[in-house]
Amino acid sequence: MVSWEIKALDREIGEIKKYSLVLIHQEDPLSRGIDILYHILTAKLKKDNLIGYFNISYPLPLVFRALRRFGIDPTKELEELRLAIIDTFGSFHGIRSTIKGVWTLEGMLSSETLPIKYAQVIEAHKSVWAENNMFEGRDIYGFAVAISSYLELFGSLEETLRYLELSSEVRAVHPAYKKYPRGTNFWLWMGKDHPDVFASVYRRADYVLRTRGYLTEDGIKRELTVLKTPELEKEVIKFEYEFKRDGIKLSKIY
Amino acid sequence: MLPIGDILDLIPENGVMTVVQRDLEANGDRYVLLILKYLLKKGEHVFLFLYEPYTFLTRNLRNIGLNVEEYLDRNLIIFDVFGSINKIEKDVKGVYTLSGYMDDVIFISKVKEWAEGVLKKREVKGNRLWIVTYLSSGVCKLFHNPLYTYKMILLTKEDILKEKSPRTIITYSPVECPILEDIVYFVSDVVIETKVIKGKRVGIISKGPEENVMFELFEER
Repeated sequence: MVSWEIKALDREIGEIKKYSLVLIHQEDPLSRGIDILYHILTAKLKKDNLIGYFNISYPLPLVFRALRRFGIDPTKELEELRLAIIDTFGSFHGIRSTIKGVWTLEGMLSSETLPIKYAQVIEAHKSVWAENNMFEGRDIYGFAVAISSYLELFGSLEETLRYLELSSEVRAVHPAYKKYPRGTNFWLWMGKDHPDVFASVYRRADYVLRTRGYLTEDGIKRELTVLKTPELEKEVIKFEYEFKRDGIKLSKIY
Repeated sequence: MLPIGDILDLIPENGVMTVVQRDLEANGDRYVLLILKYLLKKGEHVFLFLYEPYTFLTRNLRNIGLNVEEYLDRNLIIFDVFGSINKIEKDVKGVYTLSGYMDDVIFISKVKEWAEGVLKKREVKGNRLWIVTYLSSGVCKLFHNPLYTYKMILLTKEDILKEKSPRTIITYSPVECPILEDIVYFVSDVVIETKVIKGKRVGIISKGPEENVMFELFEER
């Protein structure tokens, strides 16, 4: 089991089963679900774990800004190999990075080729971790920000769905995931469009959390709902949450 | 009770603040123009990226008692994106338009060239440099692929200005360009949602220090 890095979640729904796929569904930007994901990511990094970040949505310098906001020096983390970034956004748009620890995917990118290209890059970086004896005493985490942006990159619903479903099958057999230790993965989905693709991603995930924000007469209200866990939960668990200087404060509603 | 100076202090060096016009009638865009007036009067240097017709801007500035021509080409430079895309050349010092054939990709490369040229000509210290947009949601009416183009605009800004550390204020109206909302939140250190609550025009800080603080936008000063 691994911690959520948020006490209320560890207590109320239990720690995360290792190697799970956790889906965070940010329904609206106001809820800042992405900052919950960044909170988990940066807490794992600060505890000396190994992180693979799949950059799907944004130009890399904007990701660096977000990491710095959470007290992480991305250049240093990349130098020291704990953090690896796969720059999918840059690869699709022909923006090549020369920063150490940032991987670009080469050649034609389509739903057919992407799963294999990812696997090759992951295998390559895991071999770097192996050469430097970094697996010992550390857990591996993958963060994909955001899965919903594949719709922009592929430009069609069918292609996105095919990629997402094929990639699961490739992962099951490729040596990148067999030869080396595996990780626990966090995926972000943003917005309410394309409920059909979302449904497939939902089915694949072991845990699903949804974040929602409202503006009321008293200011902002934010809610986090636990929609799915590996357990047979009879009831849906719901929290209110606030962003504080020192982290995220959750309180259970029901 | 938050004077403009205190709001601006929330923005870190090289940081980004967005003012979201959540309710149109909250006039959040006017709040940004008041910030612009404050900065210009203080003698700060401002690059204004204009995605609306120039006359909309000058009309609204006049209403808050600001004559842009007093500042243009001194400490204010306007980059007229609307005029560049719609081929409206104007002869006002300090207002720049790009000429020639224009599409999303060509726009990005021309902006880059233009901005590098202007920065070379003017010696502006980074800590006194501000970038203001009026309004970023205009990309939806000006470009074929607004989301991709906006991401490239932000990337270009990072590339060109990495040694300058300017502060940026984005004005954003979600109904006019909902597709930008998530990136606008992502790139911002501070977000202010503007709304009408109980008949009052308020700002609510939804990201950044002073989270969830509510203040009146247009108190007598």
